[in-house]
Formats: sequence, structure tokens, C-alpha cells
Amino acid sequence: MLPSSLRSMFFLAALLAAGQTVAAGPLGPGAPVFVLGQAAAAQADDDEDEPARPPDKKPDAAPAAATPAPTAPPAAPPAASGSTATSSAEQMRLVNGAPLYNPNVGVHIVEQKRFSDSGRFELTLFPVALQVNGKFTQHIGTMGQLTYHLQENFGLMITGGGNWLNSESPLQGELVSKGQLTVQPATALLWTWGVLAGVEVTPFYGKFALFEGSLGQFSVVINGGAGVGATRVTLLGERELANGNIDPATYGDTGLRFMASLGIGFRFQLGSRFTLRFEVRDVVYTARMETINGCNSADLRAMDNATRGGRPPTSAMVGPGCRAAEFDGENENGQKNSRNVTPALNLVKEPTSDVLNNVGLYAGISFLF
Amino acid sequence: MSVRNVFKMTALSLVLAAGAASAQAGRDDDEVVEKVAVRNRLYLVEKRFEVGGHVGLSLLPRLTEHYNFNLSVGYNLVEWFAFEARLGYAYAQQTTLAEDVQTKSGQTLPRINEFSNLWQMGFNGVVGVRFQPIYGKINLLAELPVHFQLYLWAGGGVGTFSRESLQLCVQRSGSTCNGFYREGDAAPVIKPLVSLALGFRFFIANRHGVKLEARTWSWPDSYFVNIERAAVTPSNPTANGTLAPNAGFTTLSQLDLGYSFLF
Repeated sequence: MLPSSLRSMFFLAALLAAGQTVAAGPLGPGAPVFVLGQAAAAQADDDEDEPARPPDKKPDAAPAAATPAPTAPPAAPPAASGSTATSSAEQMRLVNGAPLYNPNVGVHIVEQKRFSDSGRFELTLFPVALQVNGKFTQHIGTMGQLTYHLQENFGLMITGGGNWLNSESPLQGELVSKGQLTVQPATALLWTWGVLAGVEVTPFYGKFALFEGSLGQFSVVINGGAGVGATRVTLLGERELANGNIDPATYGDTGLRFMASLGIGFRFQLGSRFTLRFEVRDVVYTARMETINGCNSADLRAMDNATRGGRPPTSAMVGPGCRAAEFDGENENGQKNSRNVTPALNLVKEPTSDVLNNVGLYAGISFLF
Repeated sequence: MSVRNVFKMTALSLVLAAGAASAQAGRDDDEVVEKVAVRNRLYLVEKRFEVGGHVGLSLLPRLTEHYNFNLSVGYNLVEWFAFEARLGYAYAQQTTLAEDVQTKSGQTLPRINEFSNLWQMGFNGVVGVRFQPIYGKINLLAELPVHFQLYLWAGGGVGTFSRESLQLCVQRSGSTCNGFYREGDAAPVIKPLVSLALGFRFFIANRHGVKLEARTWSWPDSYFVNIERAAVTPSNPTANGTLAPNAGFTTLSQLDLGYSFLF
């Protein structure tokens, strides 16, 4: 063969290879492409990793039976040129459920994600975060979250919000009113607000069909974080006054606590900009009750002595961190706030501690930008 | 340009055009394959009967805890809707918190209002519908796709119930109570039941599935209030007490694990 002919052959071979590269391009580098037959595509009535099944076949036909076990690693698929066309039987041959030898169909072995999260921010509002393990307490709150997706499956997040309902549970109320019993104070500590920062990973990615018309994609999110939160404790429960009015429960501030959270849930993609999230999160915090409204047992004892002597709590000598004024004055029902001193003293004179788990259902919507 | 060069250029143009066409075909096939891959279902349930077994565990036991064992029979009318009947027995008992209340609750109150939510479920049967419009797939590992249905379940039925009071002592020796007032032992108390569930069915083969549900069971509650403690006797255990006018409903939340076999 003449040198010029060889050069032409190499040139043609390079162009053929370039043509094939262009054909493979749209499926992306992360998606292996196998060139397969159209007939098989019509029969491939299910997922890309499932065996082909005749359309009228009963569903109880074992799928595996339709798929010959691979006898050897699949050879490189033949090029799609007519000069190397394989036989029809060869084109129909399935390898691990995929007609790898069919030259006319691209099959995703791993389907591409339709929307990429990498490098995007995600702002999430959880209008309702509902505690589901509240034996002695009940919490309902609203939370927000900002997530920066550093990579497709890894992001940094900061979560914050407050529990606009945080109170004793009905069971705790029954224990007090019907049984004259109460749990140790630390166990009934209430969480008012918190801010936590952490990471989020999305190791699993899936898709679903709603009826037969709508397609959806979702991922499983797992997140964890740490931060701080404010807590309080019930001093006096709600009660009915002689005039029929309801005197609301009173609470004492028990300060900031270190908190950690661990969560898992689903994140459903709604177009490129929005997602729906349904998560279960466990927020863990330690509860050792030593001060109430900044006052320790010595401060509260001094105020208790003052009130028993007919003097206002603010007249007592207390430490610099003690907010004695919060035990002074009256509430909207004309009830003196000094009545909270004795219950507060009873709660801290023998400090109690516990580790609390607040397991909540978080339902929210996100905006990606 | 020689004839040979014209031939070469024509051949090259055809090759390039074929490459571009192949690329377009790749896009079309991509779309087709993607739609087929997502929409069609590997595991079809329409017009198929199924049977199953389930175990329910209390998620948050307060004063009672239940372990509910159920058998189920179902028929999938269409892919997204099914009927199901469940029959079972719940092993129930009081929690240690309830036992603490029995031994430590205040003995000085002259009048007693009983605790709510003390009824324990026994035999139970419900008939319901399963709304299962979502069929999905998730890759737990690169080579392990798992197909699932997400469904809502709602139904109703009846159950037998019993109750042991935490405060009405009918057999006392000194300061120790040897027996509390019980209802539903001699003749079972039958109450209506409502059950709701949100769950997954993970297909592990064409006929086999594993179910994971969050399921609630609700029934009307009842308890006595305004009881004269001093008048409580074995012959008059409720001591002129009256039933609470607004006792409400008891809701039992369970994590239900199950298996289903599709015919």
C-alpha cells in the first residue's frame, strides 16, 4: 500500500472515531453508553438495568429467566458502522439485562441527574417541625436552613429556628394533676430556639413515577450538625382561677445548651429551582438544671426568704447574673410573679441532669440559587 | 481537484454527517430510553392478590405498650389502588411508668380523676384501602437498584379492649395495693378502630415485598372522673364516679414491619 493511501486510511479512521465520540457526547462522561438495537429498545419495557420482557407477558414471569447469565465480561461493543454490523441474534443478546451488542440504542447504566446541585445554595423553610417523641414535653416549631452544595453529594448547612409551641405534654399534666407526681425537672426541659451548623450528604439518588404521568427524582439526605439552643422549664402549670379565667403556665429561663443533631430524609426535586424535603431529625442536648433566670440556689433561697418575709424578691442580695426583676411584679391576670420563686428553688436546690432527644418531623420547601 | 480527492471529500462528509446524525439519534434515544426507564415498572401489581404478615412496635409507649401481630389479605384493583383486610392480635401491657404511677400516685386526694389512654388493644381487625400512586427506584449501591411503592393506607374496623386503672385499688392490704380495677377481662369490650398508615413496599422479587410503615390505631377512650377515694370497694370500684364527658380518642403510633406475597 502506498504511503498516501495509508495516510488517507488513518485520516478516515480518525474521522470515524470522532464521529463516534460526537455520538456518545450527549450522554455525558459519567454515563457509560452502549450502542444497541431499536428492536430491543421497544422490548426494553422497563428500567435500564432490568431485563427486557415481552409486552404481553404475565408479570409473574421471573425476570431473571429472561436474562442469560453473563458468561464472560462483555467485549467492547462493535462500532456502529455498517461494515461491522453484527447479526440480528447477536444484537438481541442481553448482557446483564442490557442489549450491549445492539448498535442503535444508547442505554444509561447509571442515569444522569437532570439537575445539578454542585456549587448552588439552597434556602429551605420548614414551616412545621413537629416533635414526635414527646412523652413529657411537646414542641412545634418553624425552622430555616441554608445549604451550600460544595459538591453534588456533599454540602455545608446552617439551621436555625424556634419552637413556637414548647410546653409540658398532656401526660405530664395528668401526672401532676391526677397523680401528684412529676418527672425530674431536667427531663422536662423545653427547647425554645436553636442554631446548628453542619454537613449534609446525599448518598442515594432515586426516581419515581406518580401514576403514569409525572416523573420525579429524589435523593436521600443525611445530615448532622452542632450548635447552641435556648431552654426553659415550667415553674407553675396552667390553672383555672376562681373568677373563671385561665392563669397561664409560667416558665423560667434555664440558659443556652450545647446541641447536636442527626437527621435523615427525602428531598424531592421540583424542577431546577425547588425541592420538597421531609426529614426526621434528632436534636440531642444535655439538661443539667443549676440556674433559673440566671439565679442559682443561693440567689433563689435569698429571694424565697425575702418573699416569705413580705418583701419583694428584688430586695434580696443576689449574684450579678441573677435577673431578680423577672420574679417581681404581676402578670396580666394580676398574679404575682414572686409565686415562681419557691418552685424555682425546688427545681435547682437538688440539681438534676439528663440527656434529651427531641425527635422531630420536618416538612419544608427549598429554593435553589 | 482530482476525482479521487472528490471521492475522499464526499466520503468524509458522509462520515461526519453520519457522526452528527448519530449524535442526534443519541439524544433522541437518550430521551426515549430515559422516559422508558423511569415510567415503566418492573413489578406490576394490578389485578393481583396478596397476603402478608406484619409486626407493629410502639414508637412512643407512654402508659401502655403494644406489639401488634397482623395477617393481611389484599387485592390490587389497579396499579395505584388496592383493598386490604388485616386481622391480628396485639400483645399489650402497662409500661414501667404506669406501674410507678400505681405505686406512687398521691393517696391523699379525696376525689380521683382517672388517667386517660389506658385501654389496651387485643384482637383487632380492619378493612381499608391503599392508595399507592408513587412507584420509584433507588440505587442503594451502584449495582443494587431497589424498586418501591409509597402508599397511604386508611381503614376502619373493630377491636377488643381491656383496661387496668392506675388509681382505683380494689384489693388492698395495708398500704400495698394487690389489685386494681379492671375492665374488659370477663367480657371483652369492643370498640371501633380507625387505622392510618404511610408506608413503603420494597420489592425484593416479583412476588415478594417488604413493607415498612408508620401506622396509627385510634379508638375512643373512656375513664372515670370524680371518684370518691374512700368509697372505692370491690363491689363498687368506681365509687359513684362518672365517665369523663369528653374523653377523646387514644392514638397508638407504631412502626410496622411486614412481608407481602403477591400471587
